[in-house]
Amino acid sequence: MNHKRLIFLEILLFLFSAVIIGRLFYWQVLKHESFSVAAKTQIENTVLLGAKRGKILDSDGSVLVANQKAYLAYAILPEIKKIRSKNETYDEFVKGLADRLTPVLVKEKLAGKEKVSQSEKDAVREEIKANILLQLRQSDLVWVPLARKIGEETKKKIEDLNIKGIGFEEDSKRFYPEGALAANLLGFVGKDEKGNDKGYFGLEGYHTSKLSGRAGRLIQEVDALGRPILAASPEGLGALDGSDLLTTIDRSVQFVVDRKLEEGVKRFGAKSGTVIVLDTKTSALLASASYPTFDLVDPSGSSSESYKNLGISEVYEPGSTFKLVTFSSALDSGSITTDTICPCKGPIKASGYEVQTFDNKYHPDSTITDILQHSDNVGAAFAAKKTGTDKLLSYIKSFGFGVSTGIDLQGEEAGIIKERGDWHEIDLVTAAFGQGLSVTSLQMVNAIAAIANDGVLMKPFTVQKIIGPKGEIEFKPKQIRRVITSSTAALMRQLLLAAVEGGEAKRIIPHGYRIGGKTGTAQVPVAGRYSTKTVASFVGFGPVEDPTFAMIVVLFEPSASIFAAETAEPLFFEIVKELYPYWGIPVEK
Amino acid sequence: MNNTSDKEKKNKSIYKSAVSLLVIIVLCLSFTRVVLSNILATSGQRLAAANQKVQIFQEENQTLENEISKLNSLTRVEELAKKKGFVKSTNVEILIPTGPIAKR
Repeated sequence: MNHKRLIFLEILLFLFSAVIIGRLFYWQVLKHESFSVAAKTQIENTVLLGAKRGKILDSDGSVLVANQKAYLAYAILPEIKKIRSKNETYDEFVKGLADRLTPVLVKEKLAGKEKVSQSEKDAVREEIKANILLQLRQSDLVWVPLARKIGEETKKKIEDLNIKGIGFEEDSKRFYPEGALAANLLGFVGKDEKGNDKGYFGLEGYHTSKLSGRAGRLIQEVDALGRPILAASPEGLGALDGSDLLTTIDRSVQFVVDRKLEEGVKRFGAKSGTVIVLDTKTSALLASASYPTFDLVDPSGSSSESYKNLGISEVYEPGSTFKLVTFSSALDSGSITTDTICPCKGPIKASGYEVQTFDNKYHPDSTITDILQHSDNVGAAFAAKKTGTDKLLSYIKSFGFGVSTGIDLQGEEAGIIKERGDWHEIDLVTAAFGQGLSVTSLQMVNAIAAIANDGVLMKPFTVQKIIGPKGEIEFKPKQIRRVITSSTAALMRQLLLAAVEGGEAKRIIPHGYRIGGKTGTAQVPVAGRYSTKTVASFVGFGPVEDPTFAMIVVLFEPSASIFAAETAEPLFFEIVKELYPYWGIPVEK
Repeated sequence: MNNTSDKEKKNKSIYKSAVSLLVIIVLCLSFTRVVLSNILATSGQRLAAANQKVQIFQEENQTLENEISKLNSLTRVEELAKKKGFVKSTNVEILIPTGPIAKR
């Protein structure tokens, strides 16, 4: 009996051991992976470390773009559904929620905008409400975003509504202390296809990888309450904040240029306009404005056309401003001298076409000064013919036309200069007065900056220093090439001064500013023919004796007057009038 | 015979003392380890609190920096100047120093 009981006990113990061993085998061998993952998730906490986007500073270190705290408002639909009363449908309930949330979000969206019409307000309200409804109606989802990049105040207002199931995730957004200043130059931050912040246009677009830095990830052991345990050192990769950009932009110059351009475009009834100011000695960009512009805080509210920096993205036929290239080439190559006289008796023929002056008036026996003062197309064609296609084309390319300047801004165009094989007599003649080729405003102002800089072409740039968490990178001014000799440059400066002081606008411009420059009124080609619309521009530098700045003003399709001498040139001088006292440049009496 | 027994007794006593010392050392070390582990584990809380504080200060700094930038903006300066009655000068004289102002 005892023996039987003993055997029974042995079997029982054996079975018990077998069960335990079997269970242990199941846990430790068969289920090893899933349990180790579960254990890891219990004791390990992964912290995502966001990298701060770098700031954009003007040349004296003043902030143009910084960051501020923002939130993503979201809804957890299962939680939200719990607060629905039984006597209302889900759609009615969702509409009620949207009605409560919309006014708060409308206020956020319109904050900072000066004049908003009732119709604009209604449109914004409808858009926001439609978005909330769209999100909340996806009842099969658990988590839906309601509003992105909202401020602290709006977050508090939504919290005050006391709606269960609405939460907030911390985020950051760009902060613009100067408002819309230099919007087209700065660009903006939007989302990429993965939903991460990405810069578009201007500096934000060009330097987006430098500005955004690198997000980090930290894995650390935590206790049951989620507090870090220091016994184990954390693993992972730390976040690297984005670098700051110290630019060459002078915010005071930018401020003047932005305001004056807007006034000018409105006053002259132009479709759009652009102004660029460069330092002549380095080609550092001091200011660049485009109008129409967009709202930096809410770019989605503006048309995508307004995002473009017209100074680098819009190509146009320069018209008579290009004569400064024609005459620099002709003088530098020795094809003409200051004593050369142009017969200029009437229209000339080239490849079967007749070339006239803009007013069909002719000035026989003109000197170079006369030609520039009268902006005489026939005289320019005469100089180009003397120079020849090969030499003129070589100088055009040497001045930097036909290729992008390489400025550190997103969206730069190269313009179009035909290849040598496509040049006929008519191309040589029309190129002399800036038609049949296209340029950007930046190329044009950089070309005149080369004349002001003793004939040396510099590479335009916007960022002088990248200040990163691991050090600084400094960008020095870069010489591209010498385009014309120092003596030709000096001669051209005097000729361009005479062109301004004795030019078409001599009676309406203020004197004493010692500006050298040239107007350009180019007809706009439409469907292969020149239309009555024009691009009016003035490119100049000053003061002639020791040039410190070069500036271009371009008005696209002005309607108050089609001529640059009555639009772009006066606007140029209005800007100069404000900038001379700021720069401390004396005005001659 | 007596000598041998004395020696054995002495050895035994040394052995006993050594074992006791070893036990005491092990106990002390174990206790120290427990205390240190405890300190280490609980300082996680302090670290979390410190991290939170750092974050709050950083956010405050950013807010203050933004406030300074806003107050320093040209649009605001212009608005204030207008409010205070400043007007744009139409007659600016710029003096270029050509030499010392005063000479003996």
